[in-house]
Amino acid sequence: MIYRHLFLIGLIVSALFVALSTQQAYAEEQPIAFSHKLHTVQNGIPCQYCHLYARRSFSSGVPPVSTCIGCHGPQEQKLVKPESVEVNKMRDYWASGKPIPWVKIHDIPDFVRFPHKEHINADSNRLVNDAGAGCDIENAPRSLECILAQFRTGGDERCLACHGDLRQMDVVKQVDENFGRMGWCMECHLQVKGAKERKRASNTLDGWYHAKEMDAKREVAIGLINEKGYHNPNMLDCYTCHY
Amino acid sequence: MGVGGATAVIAGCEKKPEKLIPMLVPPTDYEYTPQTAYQYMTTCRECDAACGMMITTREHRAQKAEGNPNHPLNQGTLCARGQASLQSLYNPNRHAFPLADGKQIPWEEGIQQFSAIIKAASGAIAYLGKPASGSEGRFVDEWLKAAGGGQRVKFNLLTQNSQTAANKIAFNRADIPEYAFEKAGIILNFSADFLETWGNSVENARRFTDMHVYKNGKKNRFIHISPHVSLTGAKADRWIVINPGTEGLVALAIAAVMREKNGSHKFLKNYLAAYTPEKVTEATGVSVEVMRELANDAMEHGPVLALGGGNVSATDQSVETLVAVNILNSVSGALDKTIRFYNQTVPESSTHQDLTQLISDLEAGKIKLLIIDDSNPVYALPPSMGFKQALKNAFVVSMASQKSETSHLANLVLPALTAYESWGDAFPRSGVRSIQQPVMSTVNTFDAKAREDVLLSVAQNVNKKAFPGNSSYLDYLQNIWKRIQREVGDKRKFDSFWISVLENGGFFENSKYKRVTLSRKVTSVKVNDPGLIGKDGLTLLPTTSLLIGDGSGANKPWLQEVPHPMSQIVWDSWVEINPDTAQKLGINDRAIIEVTTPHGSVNATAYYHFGIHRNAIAIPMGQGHQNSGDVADGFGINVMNLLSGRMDNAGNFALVDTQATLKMVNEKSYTVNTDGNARQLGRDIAAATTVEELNSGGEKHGGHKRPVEFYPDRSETAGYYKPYRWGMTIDLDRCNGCSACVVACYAENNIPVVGKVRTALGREMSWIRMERYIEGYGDDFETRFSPMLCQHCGNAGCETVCPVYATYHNPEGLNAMIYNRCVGTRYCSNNCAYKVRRFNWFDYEFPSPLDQQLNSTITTREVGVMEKCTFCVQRIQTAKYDAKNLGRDLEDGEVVTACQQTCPTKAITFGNLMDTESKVSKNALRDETEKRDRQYEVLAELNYKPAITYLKKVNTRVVLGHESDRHDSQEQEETHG
Repeated sequence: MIYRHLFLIGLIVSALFVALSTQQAYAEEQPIAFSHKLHTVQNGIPCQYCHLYARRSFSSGVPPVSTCIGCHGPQEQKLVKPESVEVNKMRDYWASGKPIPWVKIHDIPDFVRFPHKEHINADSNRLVNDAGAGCDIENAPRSLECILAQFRTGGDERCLACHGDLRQMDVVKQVDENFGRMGWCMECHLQVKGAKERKRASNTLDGWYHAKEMDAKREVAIGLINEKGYHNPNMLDCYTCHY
Repeated sequence: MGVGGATAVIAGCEKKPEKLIPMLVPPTDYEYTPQTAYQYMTTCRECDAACGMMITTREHRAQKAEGNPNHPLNQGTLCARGQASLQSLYNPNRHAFPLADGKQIPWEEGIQQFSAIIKAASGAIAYLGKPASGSEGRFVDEWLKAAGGGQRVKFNLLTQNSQTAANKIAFNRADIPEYAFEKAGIILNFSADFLETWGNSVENARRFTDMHVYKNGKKNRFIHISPHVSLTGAKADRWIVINPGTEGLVALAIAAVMREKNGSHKFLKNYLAAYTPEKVTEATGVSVEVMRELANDAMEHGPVLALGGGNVSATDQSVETLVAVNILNSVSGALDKTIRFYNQTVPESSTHQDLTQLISDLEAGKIKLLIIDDSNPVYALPPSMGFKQALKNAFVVSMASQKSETSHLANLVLPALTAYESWGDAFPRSGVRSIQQPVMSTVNTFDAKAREDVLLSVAQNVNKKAFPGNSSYLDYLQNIWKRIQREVGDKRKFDSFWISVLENGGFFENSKYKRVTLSRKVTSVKVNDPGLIGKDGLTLLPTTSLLIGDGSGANKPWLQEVPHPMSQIVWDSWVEINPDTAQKLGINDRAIIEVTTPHGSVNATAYYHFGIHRNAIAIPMGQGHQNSGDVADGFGINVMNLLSGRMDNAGNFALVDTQATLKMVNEKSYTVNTDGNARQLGRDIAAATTVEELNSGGEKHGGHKRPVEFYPDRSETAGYYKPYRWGMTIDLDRCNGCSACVVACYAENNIPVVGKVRTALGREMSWIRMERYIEGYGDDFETRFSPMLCQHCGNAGCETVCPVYATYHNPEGLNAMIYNRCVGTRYCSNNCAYKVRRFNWFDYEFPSPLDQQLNSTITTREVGVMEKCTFCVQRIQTAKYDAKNLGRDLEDGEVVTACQQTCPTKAITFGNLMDTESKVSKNALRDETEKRDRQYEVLAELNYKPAITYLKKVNTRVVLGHESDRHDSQEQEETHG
């Protein structure tokens, strides 16, 4: 009996813990109180000014310290914000030749190959026509509709679609509790033209028996070939990201 | 501080937040994008062949070595040792800091000590190093002059110097010529291991395959005339067993018959009359008919290419033997056809005689300071020469990058950089100038400096006038290349010339040749029977392994872990012995035997091998280290401990002049081999056909007709194979078993090395393995090789039994393995007929800094996960993304798997089977005439529908006792493990 109680208590405690922990977005104390809000909104710096590899590489790249120094200047010059305690911390790192040990907030598991560049350069016309319609940015900024709408807008908005509205953050937070989980990725990827059809097409008995006659029809339906004539990548195959 | 709960609790495992460490200053755009491959051209320095390499670096870490496609020698491919050169760079057993008498000292102190001792030695200096074809030799010579005098002693255990001596006698050219295998119609090989360690094995393999492969209904022949069948001999159409050391006599007998018929070289008439088949048949053990038959074959099928040299023919008469081979080449008209001498200044070579001189100088106290580079004479020289003892008479400075027996005895160790981190060059032959550039900065765990830079700064310490204007070896090198630029008539600014040299990996022109004729002096060369058979005991043949080489490969985990293709033994030495001899002596296969020669005695494992003379045993070189690091030490035995140190006329070791007696010590040994059974038992995994069969015109034998099926094929089901179905063909007629593909796969796919004990438990992790099967018995046996990897079946056994859908058939025909879904039931492995799935029984270690080599574009697997060949899916994905960004589909040849890329003979083709024009389709399509009768699928009767099509090996004969008529020969089976 006592064990059953313990078990129940355990359940409740863990449920509470999950509930509590999901209330607050994941964030960590950073070595320097760098504010994305200050840099992007007040100073109007676009994301890729600093994260310059995002459109060129799998990795967006952590900005090198020389990028900071480029505007703020080293100790002896002190160009921008000469008296700021936090900026001086950065100047100290630069002077001592040490990199800044930022803490990673947006982390995806090591068995996922996520290409930033393919997302930055993606053609938003591949999304189904009504993707992003009905976005209520005021009340549900992190709804699927709004994420898709942001992605469609492109530019910096596209970064925010996944990373949350960094323009409003003094401390970087992970706003979606499911960030980096496969279901979270798939929510959007199923909004790609032909994705749902492609998902249904494989391995059903119907598919096997009527393979030949359905072949041509399905090819069009699943958007195998784009208007330029080359084949669209299959984003529903496990091997696309896990290898 | 936020709460890290959300992900942590639900994922069920605690995870510390990772750090994001930025760079201080990034390199320019052109040199750095994270997670993106950058390629640098350089030169491989693992052996003297100087192949070009293209190193893939990511985040400025070298991660993969490939051949430089521009390089005329290896043309984009590499051997197993070249692939493993990465493990020289990241070897945990590199010297990490300067040592004085075994204690760590700072560099300044090391340099100070070194300068002081140079001053004190006042010219009594010796520099012991490898012979250098490039600028390094010249630099050291100048350095010695600047340092007050001294001598350079060149040393290489495996040297082709006897050949150059024989060429000097026969053609008045002390040089190694070009061997144009592809122009030959028949190859007579007198014990040269040209696919392993003789010359440039990569180039040899490519050119040999061009000649030997089945095409246009024809196959040129390769005759192996030797007491020993090595990996090279295994590719031969016929093996002629000769008594050890009688290669020269057979060559002359064949030459005598040929000369009689073609009447060339009249001055040889009397000379060759002393070597007719009748006169040499007793000494050589080859019948008169066979020698006459060989001569007739050679005349009929010419042009001839006769090859000699290498370890197995290195008796004290090896120069005479090689002169005899030269005579055969001249008589048969091979000169200027299949053998062409270069018009060049001869690259440096070394003799072992120099070492004898050095040792006596050391003993006499004539040398106060001995500087040694990465060569390892303490290990490589027979102990009877007394090198180790003589070292005590001088101050020894080791400038080696790797730990070795030699650097262990040094008074001062100044760690050098590897070829990946330093400058250099090599001019292996006329028209080929190859550059070696640092492809990355020094591996951060090692405080090492470039050898030449240290020498330079020390010389400038002791002599203000030394190397004026040169602040580093790079300056010196560039001065030499400025001269080269003038020589070749390049009018550009030096900077643009230099950049083009670095981009291409060197400067390449057509080779210049020089005609030669056979000198009349050869008639004074007497070729004698060394009479090794008449003596007591068995003749010891020290062979070389194409993986370990002269011993420098032994500290590389990959080369120890990959089974030797012939014996399939890992992490060990063995004694090859003919089963007939062994049974006479009462020695079991895999017994521990004591091998005793007048010079020493070792215990090693007996290995039954049909391919060895009944009065000989063979032991591979390169194992049995004592101070070369954890991976090398204590595995196997050093065959040099059994040798006399006697030399031939050219001053090279007479490796074959020792008789050994054997005694069984223990019936069983702990020797680990991965082959399980050497016999196919009727499974026809490595299938072969014959030229006659292919040309018979009757019913075709190849091509498997699949049964009519109830279910539609996957290709007809929407969503599959549009537009790609990845497939591979492996041409067994081209494959020679060199195992470069196996090492390349280890390097590309982060495959852990598990060691001897776990390999014994069947837990080796190789994704591709080189299967070796033996057909026939006795002298008439055949060896077959077949690379075995995941077949990416269209109807796979593994997929249907996976309870969690971790392995499935991907729309592009790949048998996908999703690590993060895998729960480790291992059902898939049990249901795989090809046994190519590997399970991670542990979290395998990649001891630092070997972990820096890991390919960062794929997952490194953890414990409890199944893994296997992916057809290099990371390369497919990268190529697909690149093509997509260019707005097109992939083209044929854009995706190259690691195994295919490195194959010196281009045995592997990979590509899209749905594209009927692709190379792989043409090889695999069943109605293509050339290959139709050779195509087969391994274990096709299981209807797994593999995506790999093998092409049968083409033989010129059928060996007796072929498996198909001997299913019940259990007894014979056991005699050949």
